[in-house]
Amino acid sequence: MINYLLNQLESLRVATRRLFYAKGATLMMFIIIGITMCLPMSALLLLENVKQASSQIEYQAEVSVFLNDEYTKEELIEFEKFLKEQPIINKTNFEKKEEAWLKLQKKLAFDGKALIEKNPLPDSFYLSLSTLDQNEISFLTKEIQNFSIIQDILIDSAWVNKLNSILNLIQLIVNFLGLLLLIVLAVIIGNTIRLQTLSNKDEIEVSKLIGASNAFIRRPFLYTGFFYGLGGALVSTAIIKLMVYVFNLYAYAIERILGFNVILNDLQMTHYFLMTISCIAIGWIASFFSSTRSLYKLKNNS
Amino acid sequence: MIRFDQVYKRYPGYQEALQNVSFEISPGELVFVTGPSGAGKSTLLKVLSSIEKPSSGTVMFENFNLGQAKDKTLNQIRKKFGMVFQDHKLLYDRNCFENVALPLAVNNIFGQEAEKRIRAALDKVGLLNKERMMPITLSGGEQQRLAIARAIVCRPSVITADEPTGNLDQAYANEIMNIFFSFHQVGVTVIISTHELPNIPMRFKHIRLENGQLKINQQTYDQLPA
Repeated sequence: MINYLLNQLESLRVATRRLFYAKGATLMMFIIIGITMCLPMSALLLLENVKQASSQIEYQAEVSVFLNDEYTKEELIEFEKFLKEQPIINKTNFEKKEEAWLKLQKKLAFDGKALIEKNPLPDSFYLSLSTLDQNEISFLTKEIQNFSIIQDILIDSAWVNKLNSILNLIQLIVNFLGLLLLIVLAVIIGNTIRLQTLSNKDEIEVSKLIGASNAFIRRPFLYTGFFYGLGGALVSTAIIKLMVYVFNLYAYAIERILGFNVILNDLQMTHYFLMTISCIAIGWIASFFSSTRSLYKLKNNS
Repeated sequence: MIRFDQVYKRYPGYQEALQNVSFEISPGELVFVTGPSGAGKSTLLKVLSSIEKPSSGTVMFENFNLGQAKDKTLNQIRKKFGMVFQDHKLLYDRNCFENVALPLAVNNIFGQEAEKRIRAALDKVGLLNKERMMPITLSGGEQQRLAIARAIVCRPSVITADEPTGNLDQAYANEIMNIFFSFHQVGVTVIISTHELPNIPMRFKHIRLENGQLKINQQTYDQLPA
């Protein structure tokens, strides 16, 4: 067991020496992998921020219920009781037509009485829902329509559903882009390892001559692939974090111009962790296949 | 015991490098394989050291048939051989110490035991004071001595040397040969390929190849100078 660990340590030492021996090329590889991973990560960053923003909108999604002109107090109490019993309704706000009329006049800055004789607005309920599930909302609206005091119902969450569909589509595109770029990453690392096996041909040949197994020869290349993945992931993390920092640095200026907050939230640690694990796994797997293939070729050519 | 029985070796597109070669080498023997360039000396050493498999015939080493052994077994067998090449096959991006350490790493020998063995091997070939130097800074003779240190560090039962003095002047060549003789004297089987038979005051076996065929296979007794 100790010998096995010492062997691993020796391979690790050989791999790190190779990386330090070609510092420029190693740094270049880290940057290439970092930038490659940066593309799906920045798309994910954007998506996560839009999702967070849309989730805030979701809780403000409302159903407007307009009442008839003529209804009794009992009918109103019965309807209010029904609303209170509904679990998907977060908040209920009743607005008398006079109150709504005043608000409208104030908002539009005009004198309604001078233009229209009678208040055209009905009494209404504004319901904040805790869900965007179409089935649940339809069920609720059908139930509401059964009340005789209801004139009309307006569901203003349809656009949120559309937004969610678009976000799901973008998520799919980001996933696909991520997968494509992971394949690109595997090709880049695999090719670099192949070149490394060629430049270390003498060492491989000598090792084979003195009885080294393929696993022994392959091991330092696997560690090299591991380090490429890790280095690339660190570069990618640094770029994303820098991107968020710089954006937020100038966000205050944008806020002053546009008048609303546009702070970019950083990705979660889980995202960075998964990205690092993916990079390392790709580095390791690409190195394994590339070095195995190179060993096979060297064996056949010798 | 090493036994060649009607061994042939053919390379694709070339003529036969070895043709119907049969001989035996007992443990602890000193063997010289001689012959002109292209006679098949290097091929014989490669087949003997299990670097290459024979095209036909049998090569036996300690009850193993090298022609039929699997890669894993061959790796284990190779660990019993110490190989020295004419072109040294040193790693020029590693210092002397690290070059000699490579076979020990392959054999899972690390730490103090490894350091002790490396220094002993370097001491044996007279390079202990140059352990931190890079091979490129050494002379041809010293590079060959370093290659010998690498070959002996795992205490092999057989040392093969393919024209180890080919590129060296006489003084260096004698120095290298004396190192091989010292191993033979402590019971290691030493097999050296060379163009011409050296005039040495000790018992050895002579195998001569010409065009891949065995021409001489004889035991020479104490060729002491007159």
